[in-house]
Amino acid sequence: MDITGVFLKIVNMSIAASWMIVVVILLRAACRKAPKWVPPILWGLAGLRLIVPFSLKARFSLQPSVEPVFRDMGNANMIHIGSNVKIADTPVTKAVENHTTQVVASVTQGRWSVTMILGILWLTGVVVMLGFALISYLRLKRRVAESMPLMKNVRVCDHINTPFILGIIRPMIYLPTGLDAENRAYVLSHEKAHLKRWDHVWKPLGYLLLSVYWFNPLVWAAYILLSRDIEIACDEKVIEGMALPEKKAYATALVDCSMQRRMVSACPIAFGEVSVRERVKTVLNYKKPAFWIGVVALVSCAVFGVCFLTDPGMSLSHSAGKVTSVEVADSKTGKTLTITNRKEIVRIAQYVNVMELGRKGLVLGKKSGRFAIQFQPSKGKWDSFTLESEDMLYKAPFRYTVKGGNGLFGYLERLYEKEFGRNYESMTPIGVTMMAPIANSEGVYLQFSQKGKVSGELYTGDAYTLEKSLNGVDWETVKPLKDMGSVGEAYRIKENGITQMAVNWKEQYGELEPGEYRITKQIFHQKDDKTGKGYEISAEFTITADTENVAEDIEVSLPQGYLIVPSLLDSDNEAMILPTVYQNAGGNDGPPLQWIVAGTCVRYPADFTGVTFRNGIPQLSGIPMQNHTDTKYLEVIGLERSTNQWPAIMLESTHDLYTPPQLKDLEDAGTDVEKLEKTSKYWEFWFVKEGEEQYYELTLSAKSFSKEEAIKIAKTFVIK
Amino acid sequence: MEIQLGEIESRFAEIIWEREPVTSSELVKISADEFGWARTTTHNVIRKLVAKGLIENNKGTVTSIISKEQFYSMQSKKFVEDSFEGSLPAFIAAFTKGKKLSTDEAEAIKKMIDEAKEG
Repeated sequence: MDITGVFLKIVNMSIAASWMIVVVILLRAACRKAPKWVPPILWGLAGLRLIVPFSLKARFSLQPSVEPVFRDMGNANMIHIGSNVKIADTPVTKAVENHTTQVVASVTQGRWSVTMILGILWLTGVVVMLGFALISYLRLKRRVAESMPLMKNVRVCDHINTPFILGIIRPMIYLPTGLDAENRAYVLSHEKAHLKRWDHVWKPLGYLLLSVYWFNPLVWAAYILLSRDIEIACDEKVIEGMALPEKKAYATALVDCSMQRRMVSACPIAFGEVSVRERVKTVLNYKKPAFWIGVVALVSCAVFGVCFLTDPGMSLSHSAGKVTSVEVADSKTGKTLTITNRKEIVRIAQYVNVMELGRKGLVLGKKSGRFAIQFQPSKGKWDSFTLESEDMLYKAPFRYTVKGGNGLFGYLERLYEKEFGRNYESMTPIGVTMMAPIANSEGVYLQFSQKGKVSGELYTGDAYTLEKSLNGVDWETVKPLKDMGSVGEAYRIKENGITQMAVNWKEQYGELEPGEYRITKQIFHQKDDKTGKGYEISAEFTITADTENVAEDIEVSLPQGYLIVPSLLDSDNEAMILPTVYQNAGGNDGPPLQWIVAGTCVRYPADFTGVTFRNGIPQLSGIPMQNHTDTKYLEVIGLERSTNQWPAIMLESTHDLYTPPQLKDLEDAGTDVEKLEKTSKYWEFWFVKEGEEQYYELTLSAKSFSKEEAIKIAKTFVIK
Repeated sequence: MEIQLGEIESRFAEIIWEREPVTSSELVKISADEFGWARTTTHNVIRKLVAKGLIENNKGTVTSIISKEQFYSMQSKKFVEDSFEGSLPAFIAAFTKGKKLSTDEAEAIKKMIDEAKEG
């Protein structure tokens, strides 16, 4: 595990234990009459909280959740706050598995996150604390080398003035020399009581915890108070069986030993270094407690343990990643809003942290698991959301309904409303936008734009759903004429760029009436770890009544993925076959659109050409030349066709996409001209017929179609 | 000339007074057997006693300069300032510095003890 992960875990645990420590401090003050062995047990339970990284779930847990906002781990992920987190079953690939959504927020600045720096600082502190202890231990050991045995497990030494126990596995009591017999007897019984209570183990353990949690002042307070409580508990143990006179003698020994007396029989400053007055009072007031008090005390400790060592169920995940976006969805309209603004996301995470669960008084606890948050707006207002998680411990899903809170809900609502004006774009958390800029009755031309980093690859398929707007508010699914079935084609959506897709629905839907429509596609995100997630994306478009464009004059059968639309130059005589297939590096100064699209269809007056016929058969000549183009006559095709299927003169044209000056400009601007496509090649078919006044040209890009394929398409060309 | 010895040092000196002249190696062996001392520990104590002028170590043979009777007659009820400085490590001690009671405070507490009754 990396430092950052460990450190954050430690911080979390420390905060959780802090509550417990505060409670122990309060209890300790409140229960002075309780047996003195109780406080150390309470400290022990608090210590347990600091040691054990997980905890059990219990309904009656009183542990409040204080989950720091900042967590920092692994790979990218997001919070889904959507009423329908839609998983697409795209025809593209196998089923979407494993949709992991985890909540995390983190603060990172480049490679060196704040958390990492703090983690290193923490580790340094731990090393210092432990080193300190080690050095002290070694020095002490050396100091007491000059000691002599008094009895079993007890030695005396000149060079110490406080008794103590050294060693955990084989503890040895060290007494200072110079104690008079009576005092020594009491000191010894006190130290032996320590041994019986295993304090020589708890103390170092407590110090170990202190070393790890050194940054938490409450832990220091706990350690100091623990030490005191241990001493008092020992006193109690010593005087347990004593009658008053003997107790007085012990108390006197305590006092004697706390005065600085410079004698050969020098006494230790205190055998325990705790307020003497307090200890004397404890000793004098000691009464053997009734049996039932002990029972009550034990039970109370157990209850306390359960209340604070357990967590109230659900919590936020600690696993991978940093939140990159939050998705809010409205189940009514189906619109989703993706929030990518860093500040907003952190704010949302804060809200989710301290959300109150439906069960009264409980708040989200701490746990690791995977979950998705879904909103359930009712009556059009956000008022609750469901938290669903896969519990790592119990391996079962569990859900909590969260109610209320103007905070998060109001905030999200505001964000949502701010965003959703008449915005017809929809964006997914993978940074993809889809637009439908061109549409007609036969199809729509889509553009996917992807921005921002995403791991893995994005795909979309051939499938889509079409909806038509009924009255500006409701949408009705358009019923296909026939079921196209699942087509297995997957198209890669480019990262950081534009991907085109022409959808031709003539076969599936026929020609659609003008109106407002919405197309929904599925995008599949295949991540690097081979898990996948599906998204739905929609775009709205308008089909207008058909124009006088040449495209209406003719009919041609284009394969899937190609759509013929009126030329953007708004010419009646020109149509284009989308998508574009050659790249345009020149922008507005680049090659003409006709030279980079998948094809064109243009209507010319017959006398624009010089085509001649012999016996009705067109001759391989007379086609007007173009600038920057190299043309080759190939053959005449389609002679065998019937009346409205004209024959065509087939040519092969290669266009220069850039003039030399243009190339130079591009190179100066930093474009790698070597990599540019400098020419585009087309199969051109001039459909001509003797006696006709208009001729039709169909061009098909050689990049998209082989010669045979082009001829095949040309042979479906029909002049209506 | 006054020599202060702690209890441990006194006991060690006793061995020397009893068995002198004795070699340091023998002292090492005796100390190891009786107190479990390491060689370095024994040598340290010998050095300290030499420095205090109690004994002398002549090429590995240890003899006393001041006899036992002389030493004990020199002792008065003087107060030994101990060589121990600094407090115990935190994992052993309670961390809080025990306040040394003033005489007044001590008297007050003792009074409290005296007046304490049963029950």
